Amino acid sequence: MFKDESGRLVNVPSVETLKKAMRESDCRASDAFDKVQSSTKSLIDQIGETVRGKLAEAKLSPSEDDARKYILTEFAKVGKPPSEEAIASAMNLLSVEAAHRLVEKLHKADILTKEDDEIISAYPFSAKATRHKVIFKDSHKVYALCATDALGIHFMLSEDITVRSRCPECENEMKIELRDGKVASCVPEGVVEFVSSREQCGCTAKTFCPYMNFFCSEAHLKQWRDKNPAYGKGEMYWLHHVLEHGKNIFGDFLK
Amino acid sequence: MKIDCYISQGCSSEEALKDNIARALEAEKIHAEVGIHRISSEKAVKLKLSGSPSIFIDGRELQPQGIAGFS
Repeated sequence: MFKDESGRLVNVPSVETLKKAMRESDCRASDAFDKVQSSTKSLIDQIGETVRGKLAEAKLSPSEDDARKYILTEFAKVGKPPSEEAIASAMNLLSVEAAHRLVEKLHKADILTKEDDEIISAYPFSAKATRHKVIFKDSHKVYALCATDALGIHFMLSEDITVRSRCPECENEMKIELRDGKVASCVPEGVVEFVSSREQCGCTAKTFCPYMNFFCSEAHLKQWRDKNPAYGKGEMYWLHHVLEHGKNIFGDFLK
Repeated sequence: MKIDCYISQGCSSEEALKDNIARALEAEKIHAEVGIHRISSEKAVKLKLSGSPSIFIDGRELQPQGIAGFS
């Protein structure tokens, strides 16, 4: 027998009793996760290791790794990935089919993602519009998969960039200029990054990246977390931390 | 989340229990793997279950009754 919310004995637990127990269990799991995070590595460090780990696990041959770098370099130049024909030609492959197999290998290794047989992202770039626009000196722009990736592009390409990103709470734009490995300016001041720990499984680009965003301020982040409890668990980072993480993840991504 | 429900062979609470769990999960927007286990009294004793149904959410018993008797 179970007691319901009014103290009556019932044969099966009421919906309210179950809801309360589920909420408590969910909180215990989240708290345990947060404790693990604080006592060991930060969430962003773990994500960084996952991205880099997938690259190591893929065990790409030198020519396959050259193709990966080619895809990233083209992404950086024009904001979208090269076609399989272009990959085959640039890498002197015997056929477009060989380029297709190579792209499939990178896809399976979660080094890039595909949709309808088209490459739609390759860390740190996205072919689809995201909240994070990266503008180069010559004014051409690309989209980054997430806030950390946007800053990481500066280190990956060793180029000065301007990141324009929209705050999920107010939709206002933030502007971060990066020069010589440092934040040259940031408007507004007090920009923070929040990484939600809600999604844990699957492709990083689809699970974590949409919830790794810049916010105008801690206050806007708090408001957003209050309105989005399902995604409110996670970690906040100051801009200099994000810069460091971007460097650690992408600094030698093309080397 | 994992929810395990242990029910005695003769217990008629299964449908009501499944229905309440489904409604609670939907209301809380929580995804859970729900296991309904029909077990014998002997196995219930082995598992030290105190009643039917006995419900465990992520390994923690819901309202442990502390009374022997699984029927």
